[in-house]
Amino acid sequence: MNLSTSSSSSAWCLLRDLVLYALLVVLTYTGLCYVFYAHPHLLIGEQGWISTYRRVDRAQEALPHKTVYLGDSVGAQFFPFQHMPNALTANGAVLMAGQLVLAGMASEHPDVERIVLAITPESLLRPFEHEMTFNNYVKPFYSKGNRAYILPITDEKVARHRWGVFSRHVLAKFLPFSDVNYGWGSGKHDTIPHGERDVREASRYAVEHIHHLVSLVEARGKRVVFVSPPVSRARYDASKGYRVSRSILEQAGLSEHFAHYFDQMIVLEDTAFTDKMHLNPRRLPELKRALAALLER
Amino acid sequence: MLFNSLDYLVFFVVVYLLYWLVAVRNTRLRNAFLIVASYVFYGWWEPIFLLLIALSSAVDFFVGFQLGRSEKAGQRRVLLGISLAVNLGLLGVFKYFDFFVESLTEQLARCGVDLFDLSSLGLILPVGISFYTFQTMSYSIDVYRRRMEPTRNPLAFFAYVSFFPQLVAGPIERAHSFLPQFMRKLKWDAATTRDGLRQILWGFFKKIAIADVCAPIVNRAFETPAAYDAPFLFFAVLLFAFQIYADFSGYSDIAIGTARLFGFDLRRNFAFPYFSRDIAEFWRRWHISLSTWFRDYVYIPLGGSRVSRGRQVRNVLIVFLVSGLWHGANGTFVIWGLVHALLFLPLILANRNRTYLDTPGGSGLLPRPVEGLRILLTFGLVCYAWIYFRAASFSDAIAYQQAILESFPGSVNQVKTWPNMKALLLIVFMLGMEWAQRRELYGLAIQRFPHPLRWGCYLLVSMLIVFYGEFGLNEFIYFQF
Repeated sequence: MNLSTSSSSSAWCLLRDLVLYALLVVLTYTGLCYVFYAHPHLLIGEQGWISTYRRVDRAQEALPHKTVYLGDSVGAQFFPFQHMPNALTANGAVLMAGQLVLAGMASEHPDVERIVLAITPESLLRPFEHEMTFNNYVKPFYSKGNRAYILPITDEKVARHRWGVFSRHVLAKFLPFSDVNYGWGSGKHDTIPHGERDVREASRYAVEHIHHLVSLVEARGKRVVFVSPPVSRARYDASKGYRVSRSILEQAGLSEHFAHYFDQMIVLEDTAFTDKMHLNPRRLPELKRALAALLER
Repeated sequence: MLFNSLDYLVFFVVVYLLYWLVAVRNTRLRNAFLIVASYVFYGWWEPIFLLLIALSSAVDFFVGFQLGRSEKAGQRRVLLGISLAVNLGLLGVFKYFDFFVESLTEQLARCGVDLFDLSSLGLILPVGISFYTFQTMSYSIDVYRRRMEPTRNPLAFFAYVSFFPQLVAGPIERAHSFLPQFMRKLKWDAATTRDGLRQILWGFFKKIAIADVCAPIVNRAFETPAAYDAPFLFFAVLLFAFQIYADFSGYSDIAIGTARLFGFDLRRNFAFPYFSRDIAEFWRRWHISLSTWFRDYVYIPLGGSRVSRGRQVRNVLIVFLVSGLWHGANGTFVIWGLVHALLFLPLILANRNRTYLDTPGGSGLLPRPVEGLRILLTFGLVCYAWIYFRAASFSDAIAYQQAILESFPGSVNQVKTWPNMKALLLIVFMLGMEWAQRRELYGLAIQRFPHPLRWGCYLLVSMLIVFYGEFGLNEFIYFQF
C-alpha cells in the first residue's frame, strides 16, 4: 500500500476501529434481538413481518372475547388488528402454518368460543415455497416456544434449506434480509396458486394445516368458521369459480367447513379493488355489513 | 451493479484493495485500473452499453484535443457541434425518440391524420446516459470557451468519464475541477477514509431505511388514488418528497463517500434542500451539480438575468423546462419544471432570488417562527410539484388531486397504512440529524462529536438500518434518468 509509516499506523487504527465497529454492531444486534423477541411491543411500525410479532404477543395475552378473528391482509381490512382487540389478522404470507399457531394460542383462552378465519382462497392454499415465507412465517412463528403448533412437514421443509438449522434461533428472527439469503434460492418461488397444477401441488402443505387447525380447535370445544372476503371478478373467472380449490378441500374431507365459504363468496367488479386483491377502502363500510351478515347466518 | 447489493460489496472490497495495494503506485496504471473497474461495474448491468460510454468519451477526447490545436473560429464551432451532436444524439435516440414518436402519432391520430406508420424503436434506456453525456459535454464546452486546457491524457479522460462511484447517477462533475484529480499522485489518508465511510453509512441509511420504506406506501397511493382519502393522499405526497430526497441524496452520499475512499473529491449534490426558505434557495440546494450545469451552460449563455424582463422570463422558462425534460421523456416532468419556473419567476423578477444565502436557523437550535413558516411553505410548494413528477401521466396527476379534493376533509376509512409510524419516525430522525448538522456537508458529519456520542450515533444508524430498513435490492430512482 502506498503508505508512509505514520499513515500505516493510521491504517491499523482505522482497521481496529472497523473491527470494533463490526463487533459492536453484532453485539448490539444480538442484545436487541433478545429484547425485541421478549417484548415485541417495543418495535415500531405496523408494516411487514415486524407487525406479525404483535399478533403473537396479543394471542398470548388475555383474550376475553367470544370470537377471535384471524386472516390475511384482505381479511384484516374487515377485522383490523389495530382497531379490534379480538382481531389477530395478519397477511397471506404467514401461511396456514402461521394461522395454525395463532388459532392454537387463541383457542387456549377459556372465553373464546369461535374462531373466524377471514381469508382469501389464494392465501388459504398458499405454499411454503414462497418468497415471503421466511419473513412472515419462519421469523415470527417457527420457534421452540411454538413447538406444539409446528407440524413435521414444516420441519422437513426447513431442514431442506442451507440455513434451515438456524431458523429457530433468536438471532435469525430479526435478520433484515428476506428469503434471498435464506436458502429458498433465488426468491423466484412466488407460487401463489394460479393454475390447476400449481394449486394441487401447493395445497398439500396448506391442507394439512387446515386439517390440523380444525381438529385442534374443535377438540377444545370451539368452532372454526372460514369466510372469504370479497374477490374480484377477474380472479373468480380466471379460476373458474375456484373450482380446483373447492375440489381439493372436498377431497380432503373439509367440505363441511368450506361449503358456505365458496357458495356465499361475494364477487365484485375489479374497480372495487386497489390491486385486484385488496379492497378499495371507500367500499369497505358497505362490504363490512355484507360480510357481517354472512357470518350471522 | 447496485450499491445496495452483495455483488457490489465484493466488487468494492476487491477493487479497493487492488487499488491501494497495487494500482495507485503509478498514475497511468491507476487510471487504467479505474477504467477497467468502472467498465466492469457498469457492464454488470448491460455490457453492450459500454460502447456508448466509450463512444462519448472518445468523441469528446478527440474534440478537446482538436480544439486545443485549432484557432479558427469556424473550425472550433464545427468541433463543438460534433460533441454536442453525438452526445445529444445519443440522448435523443435512447431517451427521447420513442417519446416524440408516440406523442406525434397520438397527436396526428387525434386530428384524424394517419399519413404514415411511425413506430417506436422500443430501446432500453441505458443507465446513467443523462449523467455521463452531460459530464463529457461540459468538458468540450469548457475547452471551446478556453476555460480549460484540453487534456492529452486519454487514460485520465476515459477514467474521468467512467469513474464508477458517480457514473450512473452523478454528481455530474466538471472537467476543470475533476479531471486534474486523475493526474495527481494520491496518498492514502485515514481521516479522509473515515469521513468517506461515515458518508457512505449515512447514504445507506437514507436509501434503505427512508427511501425504500416510503416507496411501497407511495406506490400504493399513486397507483389507485381514488381508493384513498385525503389525509392518506397528503401523507403519500409527503412520503414521496422524502423518498426521492433520501433516494437520490443517499446515492450521492454513497458516491461521494466512495470517491473519497479512492482519494477523489466529488462536488456536493445536495445541501439539505428541505430547509430552504424559498424556491430559489431550494434550487441552490437540490441536485446542485445539475442545476449549476444548466445555469452555466444554458441560462448564462442565453443572457441569464442581465437582459430585459421579457428575455429573463424566457430564460427561466427554458432552463426549467429543459431541466424537467432532462429527467425523462414524459410531459409530467415538463409540467414539474413549469411549476417550479412559475414559483421561481416572481422571485427573480422582484430581484429577491438571492435573499437566503446564509444557513437556515442561523446558530439557533430551532428556526425563528417566521423562518420556520417559510421553510414549511417552501416545502409545501415543492411537495405540490412532486405530484406531477411522481404521477405516471398528466391525467394521473390531475386524478390524484381530484381524489384529494373529492374525499376532503376525508373520513378515516380503513386506510390501513395511516399513519405509518415507522416511516414518520425514521424521517424525523433523519431531519433531526440533518438539521443539527446543517452547517456540515452531510447529516452524519459528526467527526467533532465526543468519541462515545459519535460511536453511539454510528450504532444507532446501523441498528435503524438493520431493524427497520427494507432490503429488497430496490434500484435508485435516478437510475431511470
